Amino acid sequence: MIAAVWLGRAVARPFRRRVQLLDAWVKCVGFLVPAIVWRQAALSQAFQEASITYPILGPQLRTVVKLLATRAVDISQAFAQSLAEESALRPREREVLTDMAAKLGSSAPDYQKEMLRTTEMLLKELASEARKEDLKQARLLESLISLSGVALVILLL
Amino acid sequence: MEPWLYLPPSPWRNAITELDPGVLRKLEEIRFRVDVPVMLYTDSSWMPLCHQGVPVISGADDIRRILSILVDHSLYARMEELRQGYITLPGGHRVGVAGRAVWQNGRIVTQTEITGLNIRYAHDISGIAAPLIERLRKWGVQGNSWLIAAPPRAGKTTLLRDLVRWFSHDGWRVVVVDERSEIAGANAEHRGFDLGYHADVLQGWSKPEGIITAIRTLGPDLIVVDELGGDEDLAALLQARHAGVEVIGTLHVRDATADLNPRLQRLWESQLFDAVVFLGRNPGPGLVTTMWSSRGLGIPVKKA
Repeated sequence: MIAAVWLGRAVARPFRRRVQLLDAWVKCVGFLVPAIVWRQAALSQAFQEASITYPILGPQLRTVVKLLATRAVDISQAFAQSLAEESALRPREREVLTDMAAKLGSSAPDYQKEMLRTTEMLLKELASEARKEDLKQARLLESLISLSGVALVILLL
Repeated sequence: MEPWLYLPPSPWRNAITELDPGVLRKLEEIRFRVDVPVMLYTDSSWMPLCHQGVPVISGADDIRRILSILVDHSLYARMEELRQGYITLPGGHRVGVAGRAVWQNGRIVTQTEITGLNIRYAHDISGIAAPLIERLRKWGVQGNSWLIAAPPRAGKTTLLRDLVRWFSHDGWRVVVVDERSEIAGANAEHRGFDLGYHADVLQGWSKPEGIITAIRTLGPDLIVVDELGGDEDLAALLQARHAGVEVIGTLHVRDATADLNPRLQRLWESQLFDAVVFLGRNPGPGLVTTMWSSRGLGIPVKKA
Protein backbone atom coordinates (compact mmCIF):
# COMPACT_ATOMS: atom_id res chain seq x y z
CA MET A 1 0.00 0.00 0.00
CA ILE A 2 2.84 2.32 0.91
CA ALA A 3 4.52 1.51 -2.40
CA ALA A 4 1.30 2.28 -4.28
CA VAL A 5 0.91 5.64 -2.55
CA TRP A 6 4.58 6.43 -3.25
CA LEU A 7 4.17 5.46 -6.91
CA GLY A 8 1.06 7.63 -7.19
CA ARG A 9 2.94 10.59 -5.82
CA ALA A 10 5.91 9.95 -8.11
CA VAL A 11 3.68 9.85 -11.18
CA ALA A 12 1.92 13.06 -10.14
CA ARG A 13 5.21 14.91 -9.44
CA PRO A 14 5.68 16.48 -12.92
CA PHE A 15 2.20 18.03 -12.68
CA ARG A 16 2.96 19.53 -9.30
CA ARG A 17 6.39 20.66 -10.52
CA ARG A 18 4.84 22.70 -13.33
CA VAL A 19 2.79 24.65 -10.80
CA GLN A 20 5.76 25.07 -8.47
CA LEU A 21 7.92 26.30 -11.35
CA LEU A 22 5.36 28.81 -12.53
CA ASP A 23 4.87 30.11 -8.99
CA ALA A 24 8.63 30.46 -8.63
CA TRP A 25 8.88 32.32 -11.97
CA VAL A 26 6.16 34.75 -10.84
CA LYS A 27 8.18 35.48 -7.71
CA CYS A 28 11.46 35.60 -9.62
CA VAL A 29 10.12 38.17 -12.10
CA GLY A 30 8.91 40.22 -9.13
CA PHE A 31 12.41 39.90 -7.66
CA LEU A 32 13.97 41.17 -10.91
CA VAL A 33 12.00 44.45 -10.79
CA PRO A 34 13.92 46.06 -7.90
CA ALA A 35 17.18 44.40 -8.98
CA ILE A 36 16.92 45.96 -12.44
CA VAL A 37 14.97 49.16 -11.84
CA TRP A 38 16.33 50.38 -8.51
CA ARG A 39 19.67 48.69 -7.98
CA GLN A 40 20.43 48.45 -11.69
CA ALA A 41 22.39 45.27 -11.06
CA ALA A 42 23.80 43.53 -14.13
CA LEU A 43 21.53 40.75 -15.38
CA SER A 44 24.02 38.00 -14.57
CA GLN A 45 24.26 39.25 -11.00
CA ALA A 46 20.46 39.51 -10.69
CA PHE A 47 20.04 35.96 -12.00
CA GLN A 48 22.72 34.68 -9.66
CA GLU A 49 20.92 36.21 -6.68
CA ALA A 50 17.55 34.90 -7.89
CA SER A 51 19.00 31.39 -8.25
CA ILE A 52 19.79 31.43 -4.53
CA THR A 53 16.45 32.92 -3.51
CA TYR A 54 14.41 30.52 -5.67
CA PRO A 55 16.26 27.18 -5.57
CA ILE A 56 13.74 25.46 -7.86
CA LEU A 57 14.89 27.81 -10.66
CA GLY A 58 18.55 27.51 -9.67
CA PRO A 59 19.68 25.10 -12.40
CA GLN A 60 17.99 27.13 -15.17
CA LEU A 61 19.21 30.51 -13.95
CA ARG A 62 22.74 29.22 -13.42
CA THR A 63 22.74 27.84 -16.96
CA VAL A 64 21.73 31.28 -18.26
CA VAL A 65 24.53 32.94 -16.28
CA LYS A 66 27.04 30.39 -17.54
CA LEU A 67 25.96 30.82 -21.16
CA LEU A 68 26.07 34.62 -20.94
CA ALA A 69 29.59 34.43 -19.53
CA THR A 70 30.74 32.72 -22.74
CA ARG A 71 29.87 35.95 -24.64
CA ALA A 72 28.78 33.70 -27.49
CA VAL A 73 24.98 33.84 -27.15
CA ASP A 74 22.41 36.54 -26.60
CA ILE A 75 20.03 36.45 -23.71
CA SER A 76 17.05 34.93 -25.52
CA GLN A 77 19.26 32.11 -26.84
CA ALA A 78 20.60 31.52 -23.33
CA PHE A 79 17.05 31.39 -21.93
CA ALA A 80 15.81 29.08 -24.68
CA GLN A 81 18.70 26.68 -24.02
CA SER A 82 18.18 26.67 -20.27
CA LEU A 83 14.40 26.17 -20.57
CA ALA A 84 14.96 23.24 -22.93
CA GLU A 85 16.38 21.36 -19.93
CA GLU A 86 13.07 21.72 -18.07
CA SER A 87 10.37 19.35 -19.34
CA ALA A 88 7.57 20.33 -16.94
CA LEU A 89 6.74 23.63 -18.68
CA ARG A 90 4.33 23.84 -21.61
CA PRO A 91 5.08 25.64 -24.92
CA ARG A 92 2.93 28.69 -24.04
CA GLU A 93 4.77 29.09 -20.71
CA ARG A 94 8.16 28.81 -22.41
CA GLU A 95 7.01 31.36 -24.96
CA VAL A 96 6.14 33.90 -22.26
CA LEU A 97 9.55 33.43 -20.64
CA THR A 98 11.54 33.62 -23.89
CA ASP A 99 9.55 36.71 -24.94
CA MET A 100 10.55 38.32 -21.67
CA ALA A 101 14.19 37.28 -22.23
CA ALA A 102 14.21 38.84 -25.71
CA LYS A 103 13.36 42.23 -24.19
CA LEU A 104 15.31 41.87 -20.97
CA GLY A 105 18.15 44.31 -20.49
CA SER A 106 17.69 46.16 -23.77
CA SER A 107 15.89 49.31 -22.67
CA ALA A 108 15.67 51.98 -19.97
CA PRO A 109 14.67 50.92 -16.43
CA ASP A 110 11.09 52.24 -16.74
CA TYR A 111 10.42 50.16 -19.84
CA GLN A 112 12.02 47.16 -18.19
CA LYS A 113 9.70 47.58 -15.21
CA GLU A 114 6.64 47.78 -17.45
CA MET A 115 7.72 44.70 -19.38
CA LEU A 116 8.48 42.71 -16.22
CA ARG A 117 5.12 43.64 -14.66
CA THR A 118 3.30 42.49 -17.83
CA THR A 119 5.24 39.20 -17.78
CA GLU A 120 4.46 38.77 -14.10
CA MET A 121 0.72 39.15 -14.80
CA LEU A 122 0.85 36.66 -17.66
CA LEU A 123 2.75 34.17 -15.53
CA LYS A 124 0.26 34.61 -12.69
CA GLU A 125 -2.59 33.77 -15.05
CA LEU A 126 -0.71 30.74 -16.38
CA ALA A 127 0.12 29.60 -12.84
CA SER A 128 -3.49 29.95 -11.77
CA GLU A 129 -4.71 27.91 -14.77
CA ALA A 130 -2.01 25.32 -14.18
CA ARG A 131 -2.93 25.08 -10.53
CA LYS A 132 -6.56 24.34 -11.31
CA GLU A 133 -5.92 21.98 -14.19
CA ASP A 134 -2.82 20.12 -13.10
CA LEU A 135 -3.55 19.75 -9.44
CA LYS A 136 -6.83 18.15 -10.41
CA GLN A 137 -5.05 15.77 -12.73
CA ALA A 138 -2.26 15.15 -10.27
CA ARG A 139 -4.73 14.33 -7.48
CA LEU A 140 -6.75 12.11 -9.78
CA LEU A 141 -3.67 10.23 -10.95
CA GLU A 142 -2.33 9.94 -7.44
CA SER A 143 -5.67 8.61 -6.13
CA LEU A 144 -6.12 6.19 -9.02
CA ILE A 145 -2.69 4.65 -8.60
CA SER A 146 -3.01 4.53 -4.83
CA LEU A 147 -6.44 2.87 -5.14
CA SER A 148 -5.07 0.40 -7.71
CA GLY A 149 -2.38 -0.48 -5.23
CA VAL A 150 -4.95 -0.98 -2.49
CA ALA A 151 -7.10 -3.08 -4.83
CA LEU A 152 -4.09 -5.21 -5.75
CA VAL A 153 -3.34 -5.79 -2.08
CA ILE A 154 -6.96 -6.83 -1.41
CA LEU A 155 -6.91 -9.18 -4.40
CA LEU A 156 -3.65 -10.74 -3.26
CA LEU A 157 -5.13 -11.32 0.20
CA MET B 1 40.25 40.34 -15.42
CA GLU B 2 39.87 39.58 -19.10
CA PRO B 3 42.38 41.35 -21.39
CA TRP B 4 40.68 44.28 -23.13
CA LEU B 5 41.35 42.90 -26.61
CA TYR B 6 39.22 39.87 -25.93
CA LEU B 7 36.16 41.82 -24.78
CA PRO B 8 34.40 41.69 -28.18
CA PRO B 9 32.60 38.40 -28.86
CA SER B 10 33.47 35.92 -31.61
CA PRO B 11 34.12 36.10 -34.54
CA TRP B 12 35.92 39.41 -33.80
CA ARG B 13 37.66 37.88 -30.83
CA ASN B 14 38.97 35.04 -33.03
CA ALA B 15 40.28 37.55 -35.54
CA ILE B 16 42.05 39.46 -32.75
CA THR B 17 43.69 36.27 -31.46
CA GLU B 18 45.18 35.77 -34.94
CA LEU B 19 47.09 39.06 -34.70
CA ASP B 20 50.83 39.16 -34.34
CA PRO B 21 51.86 39.65 -30.66
CA GLY B 22 53.94 42.67 -31.68
CA VAL B 23 50.85 44.34 -33.13
CA LEU B 24 48.72 43.34 -30.13
CA ARG B 25 51.13 45.09 -27.76
CA LYS B 26 50.89 48.39 -29.67
CA LEU B 27 47.11 48.42 -30.14
CA GLU B 28 45.24 51.35 -28.64
CA GLU B 29 41.82 51.25 -30.26
CA ILE B 30 39.44 48.95 -32.07
CA ARG B 31 36.79 50.77 -34.10
CA PHE B 32 33.64 49.12 -35.37
CA ARG B 33 31.65 51.08 -37.96
CA VAL B 34 28.58 49.86 -39.79
CA ASP B 35 29.33 48.09 -43.06
CA VAL B 36 33.02 48.95 -43.24
CA PRO B 37 36.02 46.88 -42.09
CA VAL B 38 36.80 46.89 -38.39
CA MET B 39 39.88 49.07 -37.88
CA LEU B 40 42.74 48.68 -35.42
CA TYR B 41 44.70 51.74 -34.36
CA THR B 42 48.11 52.11 -32.75
CA ASP B 43 49.39 55.56 -31.72
CA SER B 44 50.84 56.08 -35.18
CA SER B 45 49.16 53.73 -37.64
CA TRP B 46 46.02 51.78 -38.47
CA MET B 47 45.11 48.51 -40.18
CA PRO B 48 41.94 46.53 -40.88
CA LEU B 49 41.11 43.58 -38.67
CA CYS B 50 41.34 40.40 -40.76
CA HIS B 51 40.15 36.85 -40.14
CA GLN B 52 42.08 34.31 -42.22
CA GLY B 53 43.35 37.14 -44.39
CA VAL B 54 39.92 38.68 -45.13
CA PRO B 55 38.93 42.04 -43.57
CA VAL B 56 36.16 41.62 -41.01
CA ILE B 57 33.11 43.81 -41.63
CA SER B 58 30.48 44.46 -38.97
CA GLY B 59 26.85 45.23 -39.79
CA ALA B 60 24.30 47.14 -37.71
CA ASP B 61 23.06 43.93 -36.04
CA ASP B 62 26.64 42.95 -35.21
CA ILE B 63 27.26 46.31 -33.57
CA ARG B 64 24.05 45.99 -31.53
CA ARG B 65 25.13 42.51 -30.44
CA ILE B 66 28.65 43.63 -29.53
CA LEU B 67 27.28 46.52 -27.48
CA SER B 68 24.80 44.24 -25.70
CA ILE B 69 27.56 41.78 -24.81
CA LEU B 70 29.95 44.56 -23.73
CA VAL B 71 27.37 45.84 -21.24
CA ASP B 72 26.55 42.33 -19.96
CA HIS B 73 23.10 42.52 -21.59
CA SER B 74 22.22 45.24 -19.08
CA LEU B 75 21.77 48.45 -21.06
CA TYR B 76 19.35 49.76 -18.42
CA ALA B 77 22.30 50.08 -16.04
CA ARG B 78 24.26 52.17 -18.56
CA MET B 79 21.67 54.68 -19.73
CA GLU B 80 23.46 57.71 -18.30
CA GLU B 81 26.77 56.67 -19.84
CA LEU B 82 25.08 55.92 -23.17
CA ARG B 83 23.40 59.31 -23.05
CA GLN B 84 26.85 60.86 -22.74
CA GLY B 85 28.17 58.78 -25.62
CA TYR B 86 30.36 56.18 -23.94
CA ILE B 87 30.38 52.98 -21.91
CA THR B 88 33.16 52.10 -19.47
CA LEU B 89 34.22 48.47 -19.29
CA PRO B 90 35.85 46.60 -16.40
CA GLY B 91 39.47 47.69 -16.32
CA GLY B 92 38.59 51.29 -17.18
CA HIS B 93 38.59 50.71 -20.95
CA ARG B 94 36.23 53.14 -22.60
CA VAL B 95 33.87 52.40 -25.47
CA GLY B 96 32.82 55.46 -27.46
CA VAL B 97 29.32 54.96 -28.88
CA ALA B 98 28.16 56.72 -32.05
CA GLY B 99 24.45 56.66 -32.77
CA ARG B 100 21.34 58.77 -33.23
CA ALA B 101 20.38 60.86 -30.24
CA VAL B 102 16.90 60.39 -28.77
CA TRP B 103 15.49 63.64 -27.37
CA GLN B 104 12.85 64.03 -24.69
CA ASN B 105 11.81 67.37 -23.21
CA GLY B 106 14.75 69.14 -24.82
CA ARG B 107 17.31 66.72 -23.45
CA ILE B 108 19.15 63.74 -24.94
CA VAL B 109 17.94 60.67 -23.07
CA THR B 110 19.73 57.91 -24.94
CA GLN B 111 21.14 56.83 -28.28
CA THR B 112 19.62 54.53 -30.84
CA GLU B 113 20.64 53.22 -34.28
CA ILE B 114 24.20 52.69 -33.13
CA THR B 115 26.57 52.99 -36.09
CA GLY B 116 29.96 52.95 -34.43
CA LEU B 117 31.85 51.64 -31.42
CA ASN B 118 35.36 52.64 -30.43
CA ILE B 119 36.96 50.40 -27.81
CA ARG B 120 39.88 52.27 -26.30
CA TYR B 121 42.57 50.74 -24.13
CA ALA B 122 43.07 52.20 -20.67
CA HIS B 123 46.80 52.34 -20.03
CA ASP B 124 48.14 51.69 -16.59
CA ILE B 125 51.75 52.77 -16.26
CA SER B 126 53.43 52.90 -12.88
CA GLY B 127 56.26 55.26 -12.03
CA ILE B 128 55.46 58.19 -14.33
CA ALA B 129 54.15 60.40 -11.53
CA ALA B 130 57.26 60.28 -9.34
CA PRO B 131 59.62 62.23 -11.68
CA LEU B 132 56.91 64.84 -12.25
CA ILE B 133 56.30 65.32 -8.54
CA GLU B 134 60.04 65.54 -7.94
CA ARG B 135 60.42 68.17 -10.63
CA LEU B 136 57.51 70.26 -9.37
CA ARG B 137 58.89 70.22 -5.84
CA LYS B 138 62.41 70.96 -7.02
CA TRP B 139 61.13 74.09 -8.77
CA GLY B 140 59.48 75.32 -5.63
CA VAL B 141 55.84 74.56 -6.37
CA GLN B 142 54.15 74.81 -3.00
CA GLY B 143 51.04 72.77 -2.44
CA ASN B 144 49.83 69.69 -4.22
CA SER B 145 46.90 71.04 -6.22
CA TRP B 146 47.72 70.57 -9.86
CA LEU B 147 45.97 70.72 -13.18
CA ILE B 148 46.99 68.38 -15.96
CA ALA B 149 46.06 69.91 -19.30
CA ALA B 150 46.38 68.11 -22.61
CA PRO B 151 44.68 67.31 -25.90
CA PRO B 152 42.77 64.00 -26.16
CA ARG B 153 44.89 60.78 -26.16
CA ALA B 154 47.90 62.50 -24.58
CA GLY B 155 47.92 60.36 -21.43
CA LYS B 156 46.09 62.59 -18.92
CA THR B 157 44.13 59.80 -17.26
CA THR B 158 47.16 57.48 -17.18
CA LEU B 159 49.21 60.16 -15.41
CA LEU B 160 46.32 60.96 -13.09
CA ARG B 161 45.97 57.29 -12.12
CA ASP B 162 49.66 57.09 -11.27
CA LEU B 163 49.45 60.31 -9.25
CA VAL B 164 46.60 58.76 -7.22
CA ARG B 165 48.74 55.67 -6.67
CA TRP B 166 51.77 57.74 -5.65
CA PHE B 167 49.90 59.84 -3.09
CA SER B 168 47.99 56.82 -1.79
CA HIS B 169 51.20 54.83 -1.33
CA ASP B 170 52.59 57.89 0.45
CA GLY B 171 49.77 57.64 3.01
CA TRP B 172 47.54 60.46 1.76
CA ARG B 173 43.82 59.84 2.08
CA VAL B 174 42.81 60.18 -1.54
CA VAL B 175 39.26 60.32 -2.87
CA VAL B 176 38.84 59.75 -6.58
CA VAL B 177 35.61 61.16 -8.03
CA ASP B 178 35.48 58.78 -10.96
CA GLU B 179 32.50 60.00 -12.97
CA ARG B 180 33.22 57.75 -15.94
CA SER B 181 34.76 54.84 -14.00
CA GLU B 182 37.97 55.28 -15.97
CA ILE B 183 40.50 56.13 -13.28
CA ALA B 184 39.88 53.15 -11.00
CA GLY B 185 38.44 50.80 -13.63
CA ALA B 186 36.51 49.05 -10.88
CA ASN B 187 33.25 47.15 -11.10
CA ALA B 188 31.19 44.90 -8.81
CA GLU B 189 33.56 41.97 -9.29
CA HIS B 190 36.97 43.61 -9.63
CA ARG B 191 38.75 46.23 -7.58
CA GLY B 192 40.24 47.59 -10.80
CA PHE B 193 43.64 49.27 -11.01
CA ASP B 194 45.99 49.32 -8.05
CA LEU B 195 45.38 52.68 -6.37
CA GLY B 196 47.13 51.84 -3.11
CA TYR B 197 45.61 51.27 0.30
CA HIS B 198 44.50 54.85 0.98
CA ALA B 199 42.29 55.64 -1.99
CA ASP B 200 38.48 55.66 -1.99
CA VAL B 201 36.60 55.77 -5.26
CA LEU B 202 33.25 57.51 -5.80
CA GLN B 203 32.25 55.80 -8.98
CA GLY B 204 29.65 57.23 -11.33
CA TRP B 205 29.16 60.38 -9.24
CA SER B 206 28.96 63.71 -10.99
CA LYS B 207 32.01 65.80 -10.14
CA PRO B 208 30.27 68.53 -8.09
CA GLU B 209 28.22 66.06 -6.04
CA GLY B 210 31.14 63.68 -5.62
CA ILE B 211 33.49 66.44 -4.45
CA ILE B 212 31.00 67.78 -1.89
CA THR B 213 30.19 64.26 -0.64
CA ALA B 214 33.89 63.46 -0.35
CA ILE B 215 34.51 66.58 1.75
CA ARG B 216 31.54 65.86 4.01
CA THR B 217 31.92 62.15 4.53
CA LEU B 218 35.31 60.78 3.55
CA GLY B 219 37.75 63.22 5.13
CA PRO B 220 40.18 63.38 2.20
CA ASP B 221 43.61 64.98 2.05
CA LEU B 222 43.43 64.98 -1.72
CA ILE B 223 40.52 64.85 -4.21
CA VAL B 224 41.21 63.72 -7.75
CA VAL B 225 38.87 64.35 -10.69
CA ASP B 226 39.14 63.77 -14.41
CA GLU B 227 38.06 66.09 -17.24
CA LEU B 228 36.97 69.27 -15.53
CA GLY B 229 34.15 71.08 -17.25
CA GLY B 230 31.60 73.65 -16.16
CA ASP B 231 31.21 76.26 -13.46
CA GLU B 232 29.72 73.73 -11.03
CA ASP B 233 32.96 71.72 -11.11
CA LEU B 234 34.93 74.88 -10.40
CA ALA B 235 32.64 75.88 -7.51
CA ALA B 236 32.93 72.42 -5.93
CA LEU B 237 36.72 72.43 -6.29
CA LEU B 238 36.89 75.87 -4.67
CA GLN B 239 34.84 74.53 -1.79
CA ALA B 240 37.32 71.68 -1.42
CA ARG B 241 40.26 74.08 -1.44
CA HIS B 242 38.57 76.28 1.17
CA ALA B 243 38.09 73.15 3.28
CA GLY B 244 41.85 72.59 3.17
CA VAL B 245 41.75 69.71 0.72
CA GLU B 246 44.23 69.50 -2.15
CA VAL B 247 42.80 68.83 -5.62
CA ILE B 248 44.25 67.37 -8.79
CA GLY B 249 42.25 67.51 -12.02
CA THR B 250 42.60 67.23 -15.77
CA LEU B 251 41.40 69.45 -18.58
CA HIS B 252 41.13 69.03 -22.35
CA VAL B 253 43.14 71.79 -24.05
CA ARG B 254 44.75 72.18 -27.44
CA ASP B 255 47.95 73.86 -26.28
CA ALA B 256 49.46 75.87 -23.48
CA THR B 257 47.94 79.20 -24.49
CA ALA B 258 45.50 80.34 -21.87
CA ASP B 259 44.20 83.16 -24.09
CA LEU B 260 42.85 80.62 -26.53
CA ASN B 261 41.09 78.53 -23.91
CA PRO B 262 38.60 80.35 -21.67
CA ARG B 263 38.15 77.36 -19.37
CA LEU B 264 41.87 77.07 -18.77
CA GLN B 265 42.08 80.82 -18.23
CA ARG B 266 39.21 80.73 -15.73
CA LEU B 267 40.74 77.81 -13.82
CA TRP B 268 44.12 79.50 -13.73
CA GLU B 269 42.72 82.85 -12.60
CA SER B 270 40.72 81.15 -9.86
CA GLN B 271 44.06 80.30 -8.20
CA LEU B 272 42.74 76.84 -7.50
CA PHE B 273 45.87 75.14 -8.69
CA ASP B 274 49.47 75.52 -7.61
CA ALA B 275 50.74 74.29 -10.95
CA VAL B 276 49.57 73.38 -14.44
CA VAL B 277 51.27 70.56 -16.33
CA PHE B 278 50.77 70.43 -20.09
CA LEU B 279 51.12 67.11 -21.87
CA GLY B 280 51.66 66.56 -25.57
CA ARG B 281 51.22 63.66 -27.98
CA ASN B 282 54.42 64.00 -29.98
CA PRO B 283 56.60 62.01 -30.19
CA GLY B 284 54.44 59.87 -27.86
CA PRO B 285 51.65 60.30 -25.31
CA GLY B 286 52.59 61.55 -21.86
CA LEU B 287 55.34 63.98 -22.84
CA VAL B 288 55.40 67.02 -20.52
CA THR B 289 55.63 70.04 -22.82
CA THR B 290 55.13 73.01 -20.48
CA MET B 291 54.61 73.64 -16.78
CA TRP B 292 53.28 76.71 -15.03
CA SER B 293 53.60 77.45 -11.38
CA SER B 294 51.39 79.77 -9.37
CA ARG B 295 54.52 81.59 -8.21
CA GLY B 296 54.95 82.82 -11.75
CA LEU B 297 57.65 80.33 -12.58
CA GLY B 298 57.89 78.84 -16.00
CA ILE B 299 59.38 75.48 -15.10
CA PRO B 300 61.91 74.26 -17.65
CA VAL B 301 61.08 70.99 -19.33
CA LYS B 302 63.20 68.72 -21.46
CA LYS B 303 62.32 69.22 -25.10
CA ALA B 304 61.74 66.16 -27.25
